[in-house]
Amino acid sequence: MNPYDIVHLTLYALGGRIEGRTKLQKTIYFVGIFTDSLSDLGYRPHFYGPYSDLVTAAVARLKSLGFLTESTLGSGAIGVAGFEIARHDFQLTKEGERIAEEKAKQNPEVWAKLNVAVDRFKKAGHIDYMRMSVAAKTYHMLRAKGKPATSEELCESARSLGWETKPNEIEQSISFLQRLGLVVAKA
Amino acid sequence: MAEIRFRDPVHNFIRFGLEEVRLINLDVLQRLRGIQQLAMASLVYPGALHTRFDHTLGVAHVAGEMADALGLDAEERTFVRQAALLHDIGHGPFSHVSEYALDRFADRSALPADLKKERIHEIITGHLIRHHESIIQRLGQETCNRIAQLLSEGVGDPVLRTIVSGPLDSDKQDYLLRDSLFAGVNYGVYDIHQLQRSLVCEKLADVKELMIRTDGVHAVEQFIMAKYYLTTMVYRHKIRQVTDQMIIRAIILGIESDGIKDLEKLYRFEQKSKFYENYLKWNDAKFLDRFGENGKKSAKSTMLIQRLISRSLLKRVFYAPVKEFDADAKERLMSIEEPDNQTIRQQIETEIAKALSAKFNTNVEADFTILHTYQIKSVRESSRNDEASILVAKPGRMPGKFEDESVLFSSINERFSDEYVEVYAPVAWSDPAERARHLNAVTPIIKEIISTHARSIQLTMKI
Repeated sequence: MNPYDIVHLTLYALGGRIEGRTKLQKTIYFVGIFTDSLSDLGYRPHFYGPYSDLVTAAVARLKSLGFLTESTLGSGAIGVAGFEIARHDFQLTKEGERIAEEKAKQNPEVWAKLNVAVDRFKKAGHIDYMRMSVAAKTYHMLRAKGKPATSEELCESARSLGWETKPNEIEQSISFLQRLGLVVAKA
Repeated sequence: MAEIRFRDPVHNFIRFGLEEVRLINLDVLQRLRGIQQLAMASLVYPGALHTRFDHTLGVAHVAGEMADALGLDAEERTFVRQAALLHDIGHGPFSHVSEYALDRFADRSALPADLKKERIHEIITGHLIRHHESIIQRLGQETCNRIAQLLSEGVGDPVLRTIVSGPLDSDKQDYLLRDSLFAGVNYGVYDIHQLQRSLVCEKLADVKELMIRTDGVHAVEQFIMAKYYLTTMVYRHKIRQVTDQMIIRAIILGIESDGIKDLEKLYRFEQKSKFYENYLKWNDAKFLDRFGENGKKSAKSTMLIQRLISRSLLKRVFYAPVKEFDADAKERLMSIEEPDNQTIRQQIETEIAKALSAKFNTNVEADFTILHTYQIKSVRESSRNDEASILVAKPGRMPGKFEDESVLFSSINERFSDEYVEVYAPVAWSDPAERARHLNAVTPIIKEIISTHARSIQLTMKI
């Protein structure tokens, strides 16, 4: 499935709205993991965590076609920690919702799979975009390692990727990843 | 070290070592003299007659300049210039037009699993570098393998990779200036020296990455604007679109309707030596001669190519941004050229041909009526590509994304990327007034035909 369809249907499954570019990027990242479509989505270990230009392009296309609106709150500046100060909220338009609904009806298997993924994500509970970003980084590092790691070891890996991540942030993100069923914590 | 200097219209004197000249002199590279960089763009920009060969030399020169700016060692510099010299050897007649035809006619089920998603011209490039005897004799098998990996598979040192394929690669740095110069436009001009001066290698994830310093932000702004303007004014010029689509339609008709074996042998890719041997024999002139001047009599493909030779081009009879269609149509229109939707596309073209026949009081051939869609990325999106964003190095701090660091680009609304639908057909008008009268009459009819059929396209997805 192409990134455009994944972004469109994920937004629809989330109720048509998502708050913040970072949250959108990381949400699609986790949906990509659950639907086994991460390679199609083109995520790379960017400075702000796993990031996909293809997802950004998909958002631009949805906006260009009039299926998605973006509203900006704040100054538009980037803080020293690398997180956005301005918040960009995205909302599917009525047309965007209707087309997504039709797409979902015509592709029940794909829709079911995406819905399961989004449901799993929702059940893990709400976290803000900064924590979600750390969770995405943590999961990315664990995947790359392919073996268990302590939060100190993960901090070390984060530094080598240019990410400033503290042990307590990683520990908090681990509990979110546990709720997602992506990691198992051992004493 | 002994070297040869070439006088290049873009970069002035460019230098090559004797070993490089021996590589350049191979038939497999000299063949690129017969493939024009911009296909038949010379029908609208008469000066645009430069070839893949000229461009190849320019790319190797720029790759060397980038290596020098980044302080790479002699071995890395030599390697990246060799890769640049070989980066276009897989091009077929009319460059990107052949890429489309090769992808369309390839039997992907016959390809090994790791190549199924690859573009065919990239498979051809990789194969030629790895297996062409003359190249192996010059560079050795190991170097050939490394170059093929770097170019076709994106494997290798990230900095070298970014020099040959990335948002600021040597290919773009050369073709923007070259295409601009030869087309006789000033849209592709940017400060290449400042851009190269600002290049820097920074460590990311324990690996070096190519970035720009903050003093290069304005040069990159110019570079991206150049890419955007050249795309809108030259690469997507309506005559260029028409000529490309006429060649593509001629190839499709030639293979599917006229049964022209030589066209099929050229474009139906097989991983066999006989395919590669034949492929390397073709260039633009041979294509026009074999399938046009001396093409199969009364074949539709021959007629279309003869129209190209005599510049009796199809006319653009419809043009609209996709966003002007209703929601159901615009969601589906961009997939109209996919193989699964060929029947619907043919239905649209047949109905449009009928409508045009009535309006122009002539018999408009449905096979020569072409529905085409294309995208122009927003200028902000042009600052990224499939490989990566451009990063701006900031001492002691995390690098920033160019589109956020540039005051100019951060203020540009991303929304304005656009997709367009066009229709070309064999009609004629005597003057602009007649043209306007005809087009005003047919535009709503064509739009309705396209909308009605587009709505029936399935929104099929695979996961």
